[in-house]
Amino acid sequence: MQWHAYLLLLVILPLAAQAEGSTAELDALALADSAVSKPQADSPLHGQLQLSRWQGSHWQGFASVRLDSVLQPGLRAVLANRLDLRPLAGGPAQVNSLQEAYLSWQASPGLALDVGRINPRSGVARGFNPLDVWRDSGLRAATSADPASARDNRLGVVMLRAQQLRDGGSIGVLLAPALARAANPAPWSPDWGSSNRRERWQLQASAAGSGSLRTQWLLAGGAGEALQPGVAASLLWGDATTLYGEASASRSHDLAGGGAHRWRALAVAGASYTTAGKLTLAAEYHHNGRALSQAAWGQLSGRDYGQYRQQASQAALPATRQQLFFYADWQDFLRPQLAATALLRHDLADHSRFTRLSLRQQGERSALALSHEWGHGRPFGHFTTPARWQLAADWYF
Amino acid sequence: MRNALFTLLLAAGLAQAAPDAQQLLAASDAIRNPGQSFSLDNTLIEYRNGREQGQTQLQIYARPASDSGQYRNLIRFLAPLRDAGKLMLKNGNELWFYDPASKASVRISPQQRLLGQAANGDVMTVNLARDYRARLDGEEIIQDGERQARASYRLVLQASHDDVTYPRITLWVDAANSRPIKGQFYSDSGRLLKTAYYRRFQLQLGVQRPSETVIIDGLDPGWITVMRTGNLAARDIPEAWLQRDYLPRFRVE
Repeated sequence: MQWHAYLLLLVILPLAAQAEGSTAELDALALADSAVSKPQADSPLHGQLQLSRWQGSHWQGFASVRLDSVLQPGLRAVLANRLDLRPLAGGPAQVNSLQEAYLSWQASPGLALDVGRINPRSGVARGFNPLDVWRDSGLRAATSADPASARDNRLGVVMLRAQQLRDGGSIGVLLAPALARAANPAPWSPDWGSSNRRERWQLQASAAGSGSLRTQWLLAGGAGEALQPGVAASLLWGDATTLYGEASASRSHDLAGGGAHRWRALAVAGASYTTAGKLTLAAEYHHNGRALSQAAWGQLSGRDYGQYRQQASQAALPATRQQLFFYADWQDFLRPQLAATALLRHDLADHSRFTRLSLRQQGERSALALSHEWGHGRPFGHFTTPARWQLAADWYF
Repeated sequence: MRNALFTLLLAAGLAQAAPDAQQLLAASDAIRNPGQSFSLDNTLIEYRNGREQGQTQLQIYARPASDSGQYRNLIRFLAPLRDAGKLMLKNGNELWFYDPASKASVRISPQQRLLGQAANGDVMTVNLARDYRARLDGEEIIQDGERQARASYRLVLQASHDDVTYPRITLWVDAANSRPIKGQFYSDSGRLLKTAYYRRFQLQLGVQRPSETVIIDGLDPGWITVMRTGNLAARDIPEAWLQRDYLPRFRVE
């Protein structure tokens, strides 16, 4: 390089450097200079308090705690409990749900044994999980029509669980004894009868398929129960879409205890898509082969209707053969930390609908949510929720 | 005059034989990441238009995959408290999100992952040389994160496969020691998604590494994230940890 070229560099390069750091970037660096970190201690105990009120109802609330503590290397204790409070609503003023209480021993990096009340989860769908054979373990306080709420707040099942992990998958066995014959509605009862009314077992395996395909396999059974095989799969499609499906089947009568004793399937097919604008959309098709036919469902009314709905509720299964489920979640909607969610359930048998819209402003350790939900359809239809508003305040610790 | 002389010498140095872009990128990767399994603490402070919006605190466990050499990450949330205990598993484009309250492991797409602050960890724990072809695009004196003029190589990185978060990156590395100075991360359509300044270099695991990254959103320059890393430690991350079925069991001892 010639001397005049160096001279040129001497003049030009510092100017170029000045231009490179744009004002916005310099402002960002100045802001970062003054940033103060507020470290959060790693606690084994976390919880949530909620106070809420439905339109036309009384204030109610719940307190939930979760303890996940290492007792010694390789040995954990897990406790999850929820106390629902409805002091003015009539009925029990409080209902306690001992959701989980178990010890977990990690015998080696790949082998684990758990014993106690456990809430195992299987499946990949959001609205309904055919692989979730423990779905009827007992929900002591139903507070929302969102299926995720019923799944999250139910009782676990007392069981022994062993799991062998290997690269890309695992195999496991779950054994649950019978502990009591009937549910115990007493407010502070651990309610072993709801969760462990009969002996049950489950074998499960998961594996990585080709490409982005991931699968779960399951075989379940128990005292007085038919064998129930099941499979779930998920797949990534492009950068923003996941596709998933799950199905199980067993030989049984319909939910009302009638109909032919034959193979009946539970199935879900769904997809989830996320936009660059922070909006996630999910759509699912749900099939319940144990539900009444469309014609039989259409003829139900009065006491028969109530009895059948109770049977479906106890089995934690949809009351009709086919539904559509839509879910939307929009983060930073209109302003930072404000989330808008929408949930729509549409019954294909009677064309009834349930809709729930929510706005949720989130803080560091609190949240305030306003929701509106309503049902639309004929009397004795699937979704009969009256229109109502709900205000809820949450505090996390 | 001393500054002028320094600049002159620097320019002369830059004028010599052009270095290999891919080697520069690999050297820069080695400064951001140790070439082994490790854990670190990550605090992200988010600002909108100068106002702090909140802090996210993460623990990141990373293990290089035996086949691709790319890091497989297990990310644990400590704060905000509403997210405490949640986990995210990243194994290439296979992503799972676990919530201890629901016990659910939900599969998410790469796009969905970008919604959360955990995605900003990518500007740290990614082996760029494994996934990108680097081209030396020029030699430049730019302002670094400490607002000092620094002689640098400007590298243009083009993704060599589809399983990456950012198809194209422009990266400036220090001409003297290959330290990363600044990165610009682009979408498929060429849109600038984020700009990152690597700064506050400290001795960690025997190498001067950036302890702070300032991330500026490409669409909204008023959206700024300050990411601070600490407690970088070599750590054995068992293979069994890095799969969906382990997420309900994960607990740091």
